[in-house]
Amino acid sequence: MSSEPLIQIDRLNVEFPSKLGPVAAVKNVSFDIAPGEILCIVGESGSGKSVSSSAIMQLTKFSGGRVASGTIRFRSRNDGVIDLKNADEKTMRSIRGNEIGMIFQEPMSALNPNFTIGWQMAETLQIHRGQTRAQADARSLELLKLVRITEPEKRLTQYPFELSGGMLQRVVIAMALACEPDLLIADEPTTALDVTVQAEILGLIDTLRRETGAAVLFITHDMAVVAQMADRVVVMYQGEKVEEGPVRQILEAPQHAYTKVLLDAVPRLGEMRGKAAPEAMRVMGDDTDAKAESIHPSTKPILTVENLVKRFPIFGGFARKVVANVHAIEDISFTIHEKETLSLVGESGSGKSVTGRNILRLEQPTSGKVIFDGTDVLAQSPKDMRDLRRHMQMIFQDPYGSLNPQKRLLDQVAEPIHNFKLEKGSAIEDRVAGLFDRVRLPRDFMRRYPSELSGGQRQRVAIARALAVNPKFIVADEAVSALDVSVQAQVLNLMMELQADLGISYLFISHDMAVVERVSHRVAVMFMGRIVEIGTRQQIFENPQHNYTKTLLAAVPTLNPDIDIRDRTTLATKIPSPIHLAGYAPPKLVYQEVSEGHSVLINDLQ
Amino acid sequence: MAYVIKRICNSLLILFITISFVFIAGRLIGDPALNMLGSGASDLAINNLREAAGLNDPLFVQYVRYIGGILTGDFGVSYRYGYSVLPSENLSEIAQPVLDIVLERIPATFALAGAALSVAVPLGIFMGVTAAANPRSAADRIVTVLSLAGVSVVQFWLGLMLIVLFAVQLGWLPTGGYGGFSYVILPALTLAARPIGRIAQVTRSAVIQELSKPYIVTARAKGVPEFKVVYVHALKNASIPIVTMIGDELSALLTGAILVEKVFAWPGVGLLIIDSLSRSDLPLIQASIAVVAALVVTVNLLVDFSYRLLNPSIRLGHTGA
Repeated sequence: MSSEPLIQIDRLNVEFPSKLGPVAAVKNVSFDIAPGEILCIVGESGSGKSVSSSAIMQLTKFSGGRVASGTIRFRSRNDGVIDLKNADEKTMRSIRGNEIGMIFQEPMSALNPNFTIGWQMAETLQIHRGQTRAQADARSLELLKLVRITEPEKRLTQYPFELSGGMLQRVVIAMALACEPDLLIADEPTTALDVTVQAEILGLIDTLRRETGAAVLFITHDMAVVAQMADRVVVMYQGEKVEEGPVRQILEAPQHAYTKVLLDAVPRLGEMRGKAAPEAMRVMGDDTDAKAESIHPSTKPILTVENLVKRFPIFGGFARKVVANVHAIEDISFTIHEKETLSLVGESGSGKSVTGRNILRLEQPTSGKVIFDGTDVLAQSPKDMRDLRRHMQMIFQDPYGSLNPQKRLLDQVAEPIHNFKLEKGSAIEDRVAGLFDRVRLPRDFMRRYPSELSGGQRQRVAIARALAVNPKFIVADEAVSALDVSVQAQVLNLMMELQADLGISYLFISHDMAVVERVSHRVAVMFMGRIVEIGTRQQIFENPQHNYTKTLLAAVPTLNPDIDIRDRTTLATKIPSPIHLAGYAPPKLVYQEVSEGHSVLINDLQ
Repeated sequence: MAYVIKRICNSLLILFITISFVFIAGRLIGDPALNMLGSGASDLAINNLREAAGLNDPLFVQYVRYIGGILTGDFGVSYRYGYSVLPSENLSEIAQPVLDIVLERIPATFALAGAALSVAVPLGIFMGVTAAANPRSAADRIVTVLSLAGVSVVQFWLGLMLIVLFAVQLGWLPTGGYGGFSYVILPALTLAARPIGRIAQVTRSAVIQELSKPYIVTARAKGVPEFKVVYVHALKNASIPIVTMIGDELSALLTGAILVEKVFAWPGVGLLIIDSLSRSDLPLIQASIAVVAALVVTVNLLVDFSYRLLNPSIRLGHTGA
């Protein structure tokens, strides 16, 4: 490793224009990257971490930003050290995709949907290397093999929508590596991916760094990913660099208060070992949230689900007959007790959200039984169902999409109170005010509109709205997934506090194993629409039985920098198709009881 | 392939309904023979016309004969075309097949629509893309104003102004009529104003939307020149709304060029429809509307099929997920 840095960013300032004058997105940020080094920039939304990286590529100007001052000294292959801040467009084009490659957050949308993979990969080589399409295709094939994609020849002729997210991210990485760049900028490259796929991609980036010698600027919000990837770390907060150092020093002896907050807010897989009940998370500077006492559920069942099945028909032919079915969930059975949290955990497409929607009858299940508090949910008339919904509420993933942007928060939270005629006149407003107190939002927020709130505040409003009708049971579908970690910790603590005080039961749907470990009493692991393993939190996390549970647990990045990420990347399993011809009946699922309350699927998906 | 057959069957059904509707409407507005000849005509003349045109038969028989004729390419005959006063006898000698009359006008209509579109499509797309690539710039404002003007200008007024300027004042081009290339310029420009404006508007908004998508950042980060980012990456993805608009405008040019054909005395189908309406020449009205409807249905069919070429996920039958 040469001591001369590859890129040196010095007192960088980036501004975006607004009605009230320029807003600084990046303030006086300096860092450098040595050849072959992985530097992680970590921070939450709005910290300026992505803006810093796009400033290097002069891409900020396309979104209206402006590099106000500072220098970006890059050691170019041909031109020696140049300042990318002042480089002209022609120089920049010869650097973009050639000397600096970039990988993006959402592989699903990062590729042009209208051109084949081969066309898009060839484009880079045609521009920078002047290759013919045939030469470029040969090189693309090499690159696809380098990123270890299955059936590389076939991929060249396919369109992006024909590939899975993990495969697309491999393509994007291959594309970024096409011209052997000296620097690879990876902007949240695994955030949109499932955890097992994330492990594969992180391992791949690390391996490629070693094989090609490229330096990596890795941008992430996830401290556990930092621990796995980084040589050195830059922590950013509201546009400023608050701390910088080698990864071990940042993780083990953080100096700045914000770094400590960030580290504390991350639930760590395994830290609940030996504890029977969920515990609140540590939230720095907000000790009121941290209730030490744990919550103990009763033994009275509130919700019983028996053999729930949901299939989505696929129509075909002239007569639009059902030709096949997507088997979304298959033979789902579980019980939730009063004051208990049962988590459904699994990757995208595993059927966890479908299960939640079918329990609330937001979709009509194909077959099965749902008993809520002694009432058969699926046998209710529409009118009775409406009354029953009072006791069963839902919190959604996207706090931006689940609130009406045109209505005051007061009216939105009051709406269910109106609907069920729970209060009249000024009593409604009093009740909403009480709910705002309950979720710790200032009462003057009642007159505001959703656009004036942050993501965490919006999710509190969504929780207040769900609480408005005093429900006994709440389905929380990825309720904290869209939130920053520090905010996520606060919202989780709020949910646990409400459970302790009001005795609410939760069906907690999540893909995040560490969060699930923190909040659950019992856990059901879902894969391919089936529960593959169910048990108490301790049984699942401390004694996993099913292969898939083990895979899932192994794939979660941990805060321990000593674990070599490449050891965990041989997990790729071929997922069978959930689509079956009409009339297909899957085998009856057989579960084996490992110990009391701990069952594992033994006759399918092993 | 099943899809193509299905769409074609649908189109034929629409055509059949249109033709039937025009047939029935023509009989609902009164006695066709009386309408054609006017209230001053003698009973003998009216009776002779009824006899010759088969109007004495029951309506159902007329309908079956009409539809049967269409299936064999016979749309009936006109007795009025080219005659201001109808003789009372020997009607069969002056009868002319209406389909021939309509088809004779088709080349003029195609020439005019084609000329208008060949100006409007490239210009409209260029204006829209230029505006989208430089939002809030002077170019964007100019395009916005010009395209609004193109959409809202009154066509026959624009036509008259162009005649005054280029034909009367400057004497560069003929005032109207049908002939060589110089005759098509002014009516084509007049007709192009609206499609230019609408194509520019649709292109602008579609390309702006595409330019905000993540794959555009990827293209820029690959070092793709901005011209290619906009004209290849963004425009290809924006093509579906643009092509839909072009199809709409082409349909409008085929059916709605009536005023402009009148102003420039251009012998297209539009002018024919006006003339045959003013003479209440029912067979000719029916045939012209049938032909125009067939053209419009064909344009729509082609637009639908083009989606499959323009969007691989439609072509490959992918429904997402």
